[in-house]
Amino acid sequence: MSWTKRIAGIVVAAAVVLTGLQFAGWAPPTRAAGTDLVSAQVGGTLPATDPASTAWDAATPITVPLSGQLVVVPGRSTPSTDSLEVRSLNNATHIAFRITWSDATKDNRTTGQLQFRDAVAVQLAPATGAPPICMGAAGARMHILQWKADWQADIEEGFRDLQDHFPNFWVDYYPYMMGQSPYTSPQNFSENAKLYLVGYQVGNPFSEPLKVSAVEDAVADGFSTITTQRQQDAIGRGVWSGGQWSVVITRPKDSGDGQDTPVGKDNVAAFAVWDGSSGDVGGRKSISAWVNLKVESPTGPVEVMWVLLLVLVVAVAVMAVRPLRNRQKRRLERAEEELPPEDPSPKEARK
Amino acid sequence: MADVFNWQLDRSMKYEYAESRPTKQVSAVFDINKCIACQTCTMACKTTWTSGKGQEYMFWNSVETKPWGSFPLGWDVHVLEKQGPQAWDTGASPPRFLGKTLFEKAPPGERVEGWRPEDEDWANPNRGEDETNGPIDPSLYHLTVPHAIWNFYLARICMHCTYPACVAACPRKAIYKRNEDGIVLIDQERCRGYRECVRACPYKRSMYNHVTRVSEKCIFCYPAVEQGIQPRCMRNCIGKIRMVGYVHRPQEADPTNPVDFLIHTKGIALPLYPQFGLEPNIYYVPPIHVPPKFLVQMFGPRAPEAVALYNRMRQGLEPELRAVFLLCVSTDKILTRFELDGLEAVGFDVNDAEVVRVPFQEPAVVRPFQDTANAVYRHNFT
Repeated sequence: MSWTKRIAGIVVAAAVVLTGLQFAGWAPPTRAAGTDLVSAQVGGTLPATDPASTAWDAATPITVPLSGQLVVVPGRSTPSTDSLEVRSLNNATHIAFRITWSDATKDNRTTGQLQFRDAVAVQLAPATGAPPICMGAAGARMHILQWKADWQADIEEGFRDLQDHFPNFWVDYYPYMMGQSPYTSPQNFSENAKLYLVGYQVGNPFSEPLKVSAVEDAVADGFSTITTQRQQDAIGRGVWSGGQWSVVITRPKDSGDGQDTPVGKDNVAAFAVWDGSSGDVGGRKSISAWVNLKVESPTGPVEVMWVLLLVLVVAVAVMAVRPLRNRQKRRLERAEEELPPEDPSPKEARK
Repeated sequence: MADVFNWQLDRSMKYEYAESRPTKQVSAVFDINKCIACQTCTMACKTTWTSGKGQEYMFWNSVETKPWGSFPLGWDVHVLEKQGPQAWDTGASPPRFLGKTLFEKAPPGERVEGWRPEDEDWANPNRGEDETNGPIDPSLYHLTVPHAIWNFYLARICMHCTYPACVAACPRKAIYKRNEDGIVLIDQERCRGYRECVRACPYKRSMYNHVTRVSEKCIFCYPAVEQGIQPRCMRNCIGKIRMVGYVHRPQEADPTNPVDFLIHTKGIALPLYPQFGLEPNIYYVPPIHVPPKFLVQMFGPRAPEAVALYNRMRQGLEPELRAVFLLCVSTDKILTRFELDGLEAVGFDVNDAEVVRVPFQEPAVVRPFQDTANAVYRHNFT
């Protein structure tokens, strides 16, 4: 076997194997180097609520520096968190982000007067037309997903009620209350008793004792406008360990909700971190600049067909070129044998 | 920051939003001299609005003993210390504030100079109750009765300020001031529990609900006010210290409006800590037995004049003032006009219909101690 054939065979075989592995989700797709956040495409399910999953190894992390929020007051002149690490995975239907940052304290309670939550948010916008500042602007609606440590604690450990925050607390009566002291929310608060929990009664998601997701799916048209969406599509979960939060936020690429930014191949994303112990709340936060979000397309049958067709063309070309070259070589050898050696003109010899 | 005019300071000042006064502004005058700290107002409010879970230590209306009592703990001394000593031009008429308001004192990155009370600060609603202070006459070293030693009771609700610090501070714009009556409300659907209002309000009348995790505040019983009825705390005041109405700016003051009469015409009702710069709309008739220095810090430089005027009324020299004070809590209706008809004070409601008539002297019959017909002595003979 000639060297040409060997190299061609290796290339073809490697291409076929790699394509197959990528299609099966067993190999990371190729990506451009740089500071862009590349969402690696995987087959099957995403580690939507598991920041410790080894599936995240398939995604290339980038470090995003954070700064204080100085656009609106109140804000922060210096960030409480200097940077975060983010990586992203996506499959055919969903995109997930795993965000990791250092935080010496786990702040997942907001029952007390001075308790503020740890939180992280991802803000998504189309690649073109994104406003230069966070939170969107009038006419430039922004889709924001905020994971909240206290919401997750309410889901995983049960609603943090008054008696949990004040262990020696006792009350003998609330209006229209059924049950027994200390009365738990929301089990003992129905009908007229609920009227006295006004935020809960009017449907404020922050007052809802039974939360479904630790991630708020929100929309904003600029500062002061963030609003919880009616349709909640995002999920997520965080783990605090060894002075570090690691949080996964997952949402559908196209939720069908007009208030969500559809995730295509090119988007921009920005991040914000709140450190409850530092008094971070609202605009008192650490924020990033826009990061390009490159979402690798799912490798579907059409793409495989194109790759296979390319491989086939290369193989046919190699197979076709080789006999031609051999024929030419043999003709030259024959010509050399028929002509006298003193003939100086190869051109003449080929006639 | 916009430039707005605060008539209580007689000067323009910085505020987060442009001046936008409501069509009408609810107001009330509390006569401190008549308050006995019975807490009936406190309980009237508590049982109506804040008896839910998470509101155990939430008192939209509270009555504290001054100078040592406070709710939340040390609310006034905290903010006075943050604001620092401030000066008035007392030579001007009206006195002009020369210092810096809490909006003008805001450090970089903040909208208002403020502070956040802790759980424990809210947990003692009547701390310092009935604590007394020094003698009224500091040269005396022995006690005399009555009022040898001074203290007084300060009933407080939300001030429904013209320039609310809570509105200025809320990054969500979840707090708004109603155009129809100037009542300041927290939208319970929009609030996200940032507690910027709790931090900013110097009077500490925005309060965080532990269970719903959003902030709440006095609503001036707007469902009642919309029907011309006084708020619960006002109409339940058994000491009859409160006059509810609508206040105007000085240049629009109506001397037949009871509230305007007390605030503008007579200048006997003064704002609480006007130097904060919020143009609060609850006014106080200062206590007459308290050292002027303390009163000036609390109610501004016009406090000594108000005390002198109150003493004139006690001597029977101010019949119109007496008429207005007699109308306090004499009816459930919000009064918008009063008249002095002989020796009777007459009150008119929001529709200008006469709703109450109070005599200067209640008719009284004194019966003999001995009931000769039944040959018994009377225990109660009035």
